[in-house]
Amino acid sequence: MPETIIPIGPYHPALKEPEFFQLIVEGEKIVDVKMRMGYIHRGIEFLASKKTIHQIPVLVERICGICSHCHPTCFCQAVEDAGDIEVPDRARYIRTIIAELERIHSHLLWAGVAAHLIGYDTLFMYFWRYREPVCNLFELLTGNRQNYAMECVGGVRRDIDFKMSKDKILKVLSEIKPAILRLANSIAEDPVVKARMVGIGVLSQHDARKYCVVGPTARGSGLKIDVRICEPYDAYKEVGVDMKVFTEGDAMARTLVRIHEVLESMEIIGRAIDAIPNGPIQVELKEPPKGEGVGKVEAPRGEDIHYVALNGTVIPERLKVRAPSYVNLPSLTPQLIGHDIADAPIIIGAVDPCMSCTDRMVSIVDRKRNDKVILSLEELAQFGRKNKNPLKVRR
Amino acid sequence: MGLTRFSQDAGNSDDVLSVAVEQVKDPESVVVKIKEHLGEHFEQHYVKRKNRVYVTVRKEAVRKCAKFIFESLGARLSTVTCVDKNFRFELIYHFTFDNTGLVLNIKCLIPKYEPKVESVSEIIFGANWIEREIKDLFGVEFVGHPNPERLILSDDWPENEYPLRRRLIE
Repeated sequence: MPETIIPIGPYHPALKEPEFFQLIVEGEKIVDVKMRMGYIHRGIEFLASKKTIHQIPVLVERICGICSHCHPTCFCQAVEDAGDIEVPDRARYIRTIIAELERIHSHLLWAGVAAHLIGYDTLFMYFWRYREPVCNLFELLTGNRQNYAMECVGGVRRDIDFKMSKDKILKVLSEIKPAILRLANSIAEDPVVKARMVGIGVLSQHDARKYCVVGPTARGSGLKIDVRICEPYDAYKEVGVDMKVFTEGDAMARTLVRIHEVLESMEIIGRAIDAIPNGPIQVELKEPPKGEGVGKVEAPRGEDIHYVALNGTVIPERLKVRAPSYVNLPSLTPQLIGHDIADAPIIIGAVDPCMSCTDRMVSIVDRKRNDKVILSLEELAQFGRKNKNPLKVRR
Repeated sequence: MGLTRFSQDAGNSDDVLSVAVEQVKDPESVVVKIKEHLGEHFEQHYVKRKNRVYVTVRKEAVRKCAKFIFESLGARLSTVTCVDKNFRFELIYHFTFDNTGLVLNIKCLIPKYEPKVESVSEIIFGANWIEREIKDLFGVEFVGHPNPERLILSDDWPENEYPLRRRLIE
């Protein structure tokens, strides 16, 4: 039977990252999905087997430009697990504050991109406007807007003077909080956003478990998965985290999970700054750690896990990196099947895929006509905006 | 502020089942249960610290073991690591228990001259890509994999060449 494949990628102007999705369609409906990855495979794991444990945090920081704090933290945790290294309290708090600020900027970036994918560019610009002060905060605290270079095995590299920066941080957060609440309300109540997101890309709890999804994708499908709660690392035990879980499993549920997380992150930062103790920021390593260790961190996209095998030298025998998007992306198959082509961009967008993290493709085929229609994701997004009746609310 | 209006749509975390089955709390009891289930295929275990348990099983029992842990104990497969150990490959299946944070690492050793192991992708869909990646990078064959195509390596990469496989040291 002839089929039509609509390829998205590997190079397309909308998501800015190389991935290749093949959407197999019958008319408007997607009947199957094929994905292909590997376009930005950079051999990080191989490189890591040539570098010392002091150089690797800098290397793994460059896996992803958005969650550039999670990977080094995760690696350091794995080494600290292998060598039973205790991290000083102040370093744990600094890691927590940077990680939560990163979650705010990552989720705001995602919310902007998602709004753009459903054709709501005003919302896109608002979200990114309020992300900007957060990036400026990073510059103030770490010297860099991205790739903060704060981590080292046994603590953090630089201290932050919170006497100086506390007022500035709280001022920025108190300024963007009412704005984000306003935008959150507009997302939750706007009929156009509801028409595009409610009931779209549904991932059932059963499928979520079978595909082992993590992060907001899992929490949007009713699975209580949050590393910060199930195994509190850093200072999360002291400052506490409130987890919101939605059972709908659609794009809207994931959006609401993320917005709640942004608000919760602001609370966490406030509590962490109030409770930060004085003291050393790192411990000296007497000798290179030996053995094997597993580090787990709740990145903005979900659970990040690193496994490291150390043989008593400073160069690890093996480093395995598993970023959250790697397990979230295969779950797109049950989400996309049965939906219109016009919904594909937002469904793919709603799991917040990070191809640099995953590094691994979707194309669209019409089974009756057997002609291969090739659309870029930008064209597809435009097609989605033109052909979707926003007043047709599904639920 | 508008929080009250927004919160009306908020989910409630109490009435949601975390997983389909009840999870086990104590690491030692997890090991005992696996030992009972696997019998002679269970080789050894050690507890690194409270939440890090390493269990070595025979390669014949990997599928049985993964099915038991995923379906009966309610754990989630985080990832699979392959380590090149000169004459052998070591596969480590990292299972996470989401209520306690326990990471259960199931290890099995497979010989390099015949790198074959049973696939768990039919039971755990999430293992599909992970196994394809290991096949690409190490050349380990997963018997019974539903879609054993290339994932990471490009289509023009030569056959029988595996980037992360090391040369044998005699």
